[in-house]
Amino acid sequence: MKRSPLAHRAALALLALAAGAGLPAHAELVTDVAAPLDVNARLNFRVTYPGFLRFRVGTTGATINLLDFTVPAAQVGSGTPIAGTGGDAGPSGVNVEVVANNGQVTITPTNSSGGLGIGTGTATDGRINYDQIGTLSSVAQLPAPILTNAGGAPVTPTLNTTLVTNRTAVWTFSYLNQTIPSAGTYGGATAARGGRVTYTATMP
Amino acid sequence: MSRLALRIAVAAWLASAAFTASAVTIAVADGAPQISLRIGATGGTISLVTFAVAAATAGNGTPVVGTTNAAAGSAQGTFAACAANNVRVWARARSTVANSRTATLQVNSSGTMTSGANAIPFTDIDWITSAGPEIPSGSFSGSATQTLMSFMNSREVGMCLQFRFLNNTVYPAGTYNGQMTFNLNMP
Repeated sequence: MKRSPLAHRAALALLALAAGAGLPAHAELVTDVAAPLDVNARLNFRVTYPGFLRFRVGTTGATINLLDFTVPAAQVGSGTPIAGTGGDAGPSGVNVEVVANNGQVTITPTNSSGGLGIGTGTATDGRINYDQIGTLSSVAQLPAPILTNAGGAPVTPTLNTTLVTNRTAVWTFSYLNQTIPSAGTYGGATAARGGRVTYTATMP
Repeated sequence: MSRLALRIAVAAWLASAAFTASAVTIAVADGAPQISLRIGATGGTISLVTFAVAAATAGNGTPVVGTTNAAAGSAQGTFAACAANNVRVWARARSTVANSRTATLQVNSSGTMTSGANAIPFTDIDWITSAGPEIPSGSFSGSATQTLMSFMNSREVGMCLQFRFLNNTVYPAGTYNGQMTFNLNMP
């Protein structure tokens, strides 16, 4: 085969470069010339992982969901639970998520009623006690606190692994309808009427 | 120079003219058997790839891109420097007769990164190949002998890899450190 001078020069230059390349025998640029040809090089990795607690009840962002229960006159006080509207996981349900990584999380409910229950804003109308608000969780490992006028009993989501909690559930609320209050609109977005529940998650 | 060696060299030169130097396999002259491997920086340094996970997104499945210094991705011979935060992977295998032996690059990803009693497996890390087709983008399998690539002698290959923490799992707070070993061998 006839080779062109250009090809010859290029090839020779390339081979000279390759043959002359120095190979320092540093730790992570390693060379072996003796059988068996076998070299190792290492690479270090580091993950900086923060301690954190994320907690969600209902719609993400600044929205505070309002669960609205409307009791038909024919059913007042019948004991038949009334489903609500206004949830973000179905009409009566809210999405709940707790993710944390430094030990047992505790979720504690408080409310804006000052221990009195939910009112209309008019004292003579009376109150609806928080024990008339039922809550069910879709996941046993993330239970819903039972609400009372004083707030309610704290709950502790089950740890997934040592120190780590990563649970999601839907908490479904209902009005238990076991009493006969005076007519009116109880609670609502006006916190002073006592209808706002705040869930607080804490971690060691 | 043998007829075979000349043809290989010319082919490599033509390929260099058509593509960037960091995306081709470069032929080297036949000679006494020799292999070389570079992972990250040279000069006795073991490079470090760091992943900083944000509290707001920890465990949400959005990968966290690793960072490293420029030395980890510096140029190697005809292979240009990698983009920022990439790790240079370079291997060379030579023998007396071209295309007569196969060099294989493997990695032991069976270990973990640890912080006290807590651990993150290396399977939580993948990589995006930004230069060099020999090692395609992939993830660590957790095997002690995961094969990344094989190539025939007498060649050198260079890649740039950007590592990512997959962030699919929530871990206890801490600073997790681990070391992975890459192995090049040519039977």
